[in-house]
Amino acid sequence: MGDWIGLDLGRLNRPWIERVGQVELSVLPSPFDVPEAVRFAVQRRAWWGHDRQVIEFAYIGNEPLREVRLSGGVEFLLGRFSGRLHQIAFDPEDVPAWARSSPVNALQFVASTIHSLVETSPRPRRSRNYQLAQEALQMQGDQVFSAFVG
Amino acid sequence: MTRSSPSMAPAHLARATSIDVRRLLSLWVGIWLFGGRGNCGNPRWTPRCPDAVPLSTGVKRVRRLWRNRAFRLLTFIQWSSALAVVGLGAIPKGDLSRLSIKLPTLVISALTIGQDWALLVIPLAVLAGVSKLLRERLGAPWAWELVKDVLDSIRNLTFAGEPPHDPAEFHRATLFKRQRICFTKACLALRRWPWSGWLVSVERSGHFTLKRRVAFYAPDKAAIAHGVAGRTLACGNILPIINLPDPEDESQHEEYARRTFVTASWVKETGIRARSFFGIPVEVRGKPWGVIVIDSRDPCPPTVVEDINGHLELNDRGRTLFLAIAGVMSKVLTRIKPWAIG
Repeated sequence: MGDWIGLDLGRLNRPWIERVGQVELSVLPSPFDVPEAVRFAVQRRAWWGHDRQVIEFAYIGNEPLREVRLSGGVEFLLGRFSGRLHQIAFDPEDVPAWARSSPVNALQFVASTIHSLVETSPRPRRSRNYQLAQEALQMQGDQVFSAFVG
Repeated sequence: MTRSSPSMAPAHLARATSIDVRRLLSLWVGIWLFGGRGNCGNPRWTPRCPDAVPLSTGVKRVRRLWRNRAFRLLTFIQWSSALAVVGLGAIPKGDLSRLSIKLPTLVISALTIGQDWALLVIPLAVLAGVSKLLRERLGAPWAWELVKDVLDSIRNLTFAGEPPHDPAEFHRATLFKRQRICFTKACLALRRWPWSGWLVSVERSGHFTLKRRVAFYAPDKAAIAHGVAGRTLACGNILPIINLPDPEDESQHEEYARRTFVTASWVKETGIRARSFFGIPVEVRGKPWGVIVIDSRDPCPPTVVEDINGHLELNDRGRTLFLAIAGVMSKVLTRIKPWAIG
């Protein structure tokens, strides 16, 4: 498994303006939604299965996870109760060739994958977490996707 | 000289032994219930717990002291009943005199008594189960003390830059627990049903302002949640509210109430003096557990900075601190069952 790459929490903890009741407030993301670290890994499977490429996010809390499969061979591990994004797993055969050409394209491919999760997610509140996960990948894209492209 | 069997022991020796055993047992039960590790609310145990709080510092401390005692009593009942159930269940059935192993007469008579009382297994098992449930309802004293210590640390670290002579109640950290049903005066005051979802204060930093439990209306419908605590739970993010008007000025009550999501009458009744709030959501295993509210009489606490556009941002210390707060509290609260009364 790859090493965890720490994230700049100052850049992820950006406030946004939200209307709460009749008041407009500067709101900060929940500490449980902010990923602390990210890593890329190749998950070895048993001899009959393919290896998978996995992008994982680390958070401060622990929770049971559930699998969500989208079309195109992408598998997500989400928090069972929170719906938080913990892992994205790709089957290497299902990743298009253009996504492997450069880290920028790889990031674009993963971002579109997360976007499709946002669209299908039954929990709109977690869209902030998915957005933070995307930002985390953009922040450390070079380190994460160099192995993905290679 | 023949060796005497246990049943043939001199009467005075047997009596002395039974008295010693009784004394030891009563001493053990006494220590178990009223002393020992974790009973920091008991001033009699100050040598073992130097930070012990005297009884006169608040009703909640006393309440916690009695809860700790009740917890110890229930632990004793649970384990005694469980051991008795195991012991009674292990006694062989049938005629003991036909056993292949030769047992002393005293053991045989004890086993015979055990056989006679074998039916006690059912009520004792029920008693052990009920005690366990009640213990979980109370929550382990050490876990609650840890929660209190964490809240004290939160308060001290958040307001480290404040003048050192400020009284403790000027800056506080309070833990609110989400519960479905709550029977308090707040239900009547807000004219809400007791079963519609509430946030109830379960622990607070410092040893002051603990006499009253505060409850905020926190239903599933976020738009009508009450107070900073209720709104924090509803939106699931950190809510910083600073530069509030001075609530001592009655003409400012409406504005104060609007910005803190309460009613003007509530501001007047409670006599609240805080000028800034931070609501931090707390989750346990991915589920919303409650909220930590940090309030201060300082209109702009040291952990927050305002950018050019007027947006609030946490400074580096605030960011690290709030992440640590949420992480530690989440871990500690895993040891307290969701149905604990706090």
